[in-house]
Order: sequence, then structure tokens, then C-alpha cells
Amino acid sequence: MSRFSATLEREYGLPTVSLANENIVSFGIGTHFKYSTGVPLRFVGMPYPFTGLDEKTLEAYLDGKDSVSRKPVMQAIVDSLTLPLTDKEKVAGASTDVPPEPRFLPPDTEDKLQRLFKNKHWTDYNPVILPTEERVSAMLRGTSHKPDELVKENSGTFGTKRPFTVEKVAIIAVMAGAKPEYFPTILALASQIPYSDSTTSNASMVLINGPVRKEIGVNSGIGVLGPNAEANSVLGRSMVLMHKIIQGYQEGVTGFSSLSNPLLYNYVTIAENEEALPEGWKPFHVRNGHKPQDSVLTVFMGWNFVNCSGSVVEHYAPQLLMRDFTRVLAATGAATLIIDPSVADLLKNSQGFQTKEAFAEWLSQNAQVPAETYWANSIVSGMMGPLGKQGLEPYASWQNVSGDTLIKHLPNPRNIQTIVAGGETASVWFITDFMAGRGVSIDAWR
Amino acid sequence: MKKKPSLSIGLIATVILILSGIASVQSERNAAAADDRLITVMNPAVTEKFADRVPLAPRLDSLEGKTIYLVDLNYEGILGTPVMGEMKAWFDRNMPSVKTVLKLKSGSYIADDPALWKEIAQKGGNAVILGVAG
Repeated sequence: MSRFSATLEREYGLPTVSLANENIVSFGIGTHFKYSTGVPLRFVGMPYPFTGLDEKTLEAYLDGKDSVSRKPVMQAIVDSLTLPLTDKEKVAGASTDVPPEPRFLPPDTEDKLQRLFKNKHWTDYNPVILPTEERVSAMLRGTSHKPDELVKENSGTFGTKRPFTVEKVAIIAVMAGAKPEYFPTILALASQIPYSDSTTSNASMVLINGPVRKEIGVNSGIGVLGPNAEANSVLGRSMVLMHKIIQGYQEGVTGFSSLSNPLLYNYVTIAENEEALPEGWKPFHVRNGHKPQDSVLTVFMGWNFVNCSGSVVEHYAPQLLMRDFTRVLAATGAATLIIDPSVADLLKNSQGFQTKEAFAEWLSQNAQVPAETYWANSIVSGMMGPLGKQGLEPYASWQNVSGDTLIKHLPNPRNIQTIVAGGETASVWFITDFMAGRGVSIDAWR
Repeated sequence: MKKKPSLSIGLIATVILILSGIASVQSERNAAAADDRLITVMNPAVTEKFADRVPLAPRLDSLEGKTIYLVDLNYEGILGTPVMGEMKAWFDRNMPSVKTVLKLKSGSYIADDPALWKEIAQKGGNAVILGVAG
């Protein structure tokens, strides 16, 4: 919203007032103003949400108080468009530079430094390995890249400028407990900042493919989704710390996720069990254009992570239950399945899916949801609804059917991913609505 | 009959106890000294850069006779944000000389709509009320 209001003020000279709930207001007049737009926008703070409220309640909202000025909302709106600018609102030009962060912190005891790191929100609130210069130097020997190389400039939430170097990533890798051989993977992960955030409870997931899995011991087998391997735990923790320190994410300040998501504790950091793929099933990274010998990291984003709640039964084929379970996904048109090798084997050898693509095609054709359920999802109505209004298919047609009409809500098989992982001790699987980002090379960071 | 411990054994035991006590105190002192040892560590924080400042557009003397665009961001889903309609009705009741134009921004709430911003300027819009984000 701030971007649009800033455009109207800056490029068209139009007085604009932005209406938002208190969280967005505080972000808009705080962090986003200072580090992103530079425009001191006028906001009016309103209660939220409005959906389902009757006319009288909405009228009462307009008679209520603006949380910024404490005036009645409509009076505050009129004033925002008519009261003359203050001196602060007339300021133009380059801001004075922020003093650069020092390379070292003032010397202190271990206990006090641990407390300082927690107080600064630089941790997951567990103790970290303190990043002495000696430890950071050892970490930097894990890559050929120079310590002062810029990894990325626009790394803040909403693209604010928070430039960071290879050395900063090394400091955080030490804090997370990483070994130097993990460092290229952590740098690849750092190159994907900013990670997605939302007031809704979304999360990210990290998949690693290729030879690096074996080189650094990323678990893809038994217990893959649990805290059972050093590399998975430490890589996930690195992402947690980079999200907070580099991206600057802090709940209530730069992020406003009401419930947040337990997956954020370790970002579901896993590798694919490529050795256990049925013949003809390609590894995830190969299916997406990489060579088998490439080491690739992919960050996914989504909301739901649904357990099959048991194992495959004799009387109901696994793909049928997977199809049924798609109904609870966020309906963004994407699905990612994480399946045990034994389930992959069943899908191929008992159910006849010779490739991952064939399975994706079947699921795309057979997963259906009533239109009213589909549009009831706010992610869908907010993102796909406007596309339908503009005539884009299939969303336009789906807006014109009765609520009980079944629609094929995973229309593009390319957006259905299957990852094989696990230890074959049970024929289990998860289905998620996670969307895959572009895979990035880990080798480029060696 | 129990044999009494000899004096020399008692003396040795006492000396051992004293010495071990001294060692224990010394060990605790060493641990405390280690805890108080100052460590220098590297700073993980990155420097965030301020954006260049841009002034607000000059405000209107009044809204009387002006055209105000009420732009629905699309945050509330396919039926639009009902409160925007309520605002339009408020202007009709309370400031009837204000012309209000209700517009739905195209694309999702995060998608830019440069065509609409241009349209508002070209069609003589005087101000914009943009909302509502939650």
C-alpha cells in the first residue's frame, strides 16, 4: 500500500491518505518510510477486518477514532487531504548516512554477549556460538569468495536496502553452529533473502539436491523431517538467524504474523533421497532443468503441511487420498508432496505412474474442490479473484459457476512437485501447498 | 574391640581435607576468572540504508467541489472492501459537493496498477483515499 500511495504523491502530485489497520500504519510510518519510500505518508488507522460486518457496524467504524490522530475517522481523512504540510513533511533530498555497524562488538564476557545477542533479536533464543574472528576466519575458508564480496543489497522485508557481505554470512553461520563445509550451502541460502513473510501463517521450506547432500551429510533418509541430523538442523537454523539479522525481521516491528508458523523453527530443511527414486523418476532439480551432478538449493513458500496420518492402506490407493487431501490446501494452484520411497515405489509399480510428471498430470486432472470452498480462501480471493475479474482463465469462469460446482484447482501440473525422502520404515507422506522457487546453484558459492 | 585410628592417620586425613578445600576454592576462583574473561566477537548486524526523502504533495485548501478517488486495494477479496462504499455514502450525505469515484485496483493487493494511477491524474482526480490494508 505504501508503494502505491508514494507513487501517487511523488509522481502525480496527488494528496493521498492511506487507510490501514494499526500494524500496517506503524510499519508504513516507521520502517517502510525510513528505509523504503522516503515519503512521510499520511495514514488513518482503522479496525480490521471488515468481511462479514453489517452496514451499521461499518458506519460505526467511520464514526470511530483514527488510531493515529484520535480524531473521528472521516474527519481524519478530510484533514489528511487538506491540512497544510508540516516542516517534516516538506523535507527533500538524500538522507544522512546511517553510521555503519562496527566490524567488532565491544569486548564483554560470554554470558553478557549471549544476553546481548538475545536482546538484539539476533538469535532463536537458544545460545549461539559466539563469532570470534578466529571462528569466522575458519568459516570463510569454506568458500573461495572474498569476505568483502557483496551478496545482496535489497535484502530487507519489502526490499529495503540492507546490503550484506560474505563475511556477515560467515558470522551468522558460526553463530548457528555450522562447519566450514556447510558454508557454500549457507551462502546459496543467503542469496535467496528476503524470505517470504505475511500476516497470515506462511512458512518456507528448503530442499537440497545433488552431490552436496552426501558431502556434508544432509539427511534425506530415516527421520528426514525431524531433528535428526546435524546438517539439516544447522542449515535450518542459519536461515532462521539470517531472516532475523540480515532481513531484519522482527514480529511487531517489521513483520506482523498473527499466529506465525511452527515450521519457521527450522524451515523444513531436507534433502531428496535421490538414490531411492524409482527408475524413471527424476530428482527434483533435474526435473527443473539442472544436471544430476549439480548441487542445487530450492526455497519453497506455502501455508499448509498436511500429514497423511498413518500409512498407505490396501483398499485405497495412495493417490486417491492425496487427491482428497488437496482440498485443505491454500488453493494457490501449487502442491508439493513429500513421500517415502516406499510410496513412490507403490505409485510407480502398483499404480502405473512411470514418472513424476505422469503423477502430477493425474493429480491436476483429478483434484477438485467446490467453487465456494475455493473462493472462501482469502489467499485465493485476494490473489486470483482480481485476475478472474480481468478475464483471466480459468479464474473468470470459476467466478461464474454455482458454489457447489467442482473445479480443478490445480490446473497446471508444472506446479505440482513430488519430493522423495524418508527411510522406508512406513509408507507415509505429507502433502503441502508449498510453491517452489527457482533452484540456485550451491556450486557457485564453493 | 575396635582399633582407634592412630594420630598419624588422623593428621594425614586432616591435611588432605584442608588441601582439597584449598584446591576447590582455587578451582572456583579459576572458573570465575574464566567467566569474567572478556571476549571480542564480530558484529553480525547489517547497516540498513535510509531512503532519500521525498516531500508530500501539497494539500488541497478544501474538498468542496473536488473529485476524490476511493481506491479499493483488493485486500478483502472478490467482493471488494465494503467500507469503501460506506465512505462514498458518507461523502454523499455530508459533503455533497465532493464528487467521489469508487475504483477497484486491478491485480492482487500487492500488484501495482500504474494504469489506474495515470487514469486518476488524467481524469482530473484531485485526491485519493487508498485502502484498506490489514
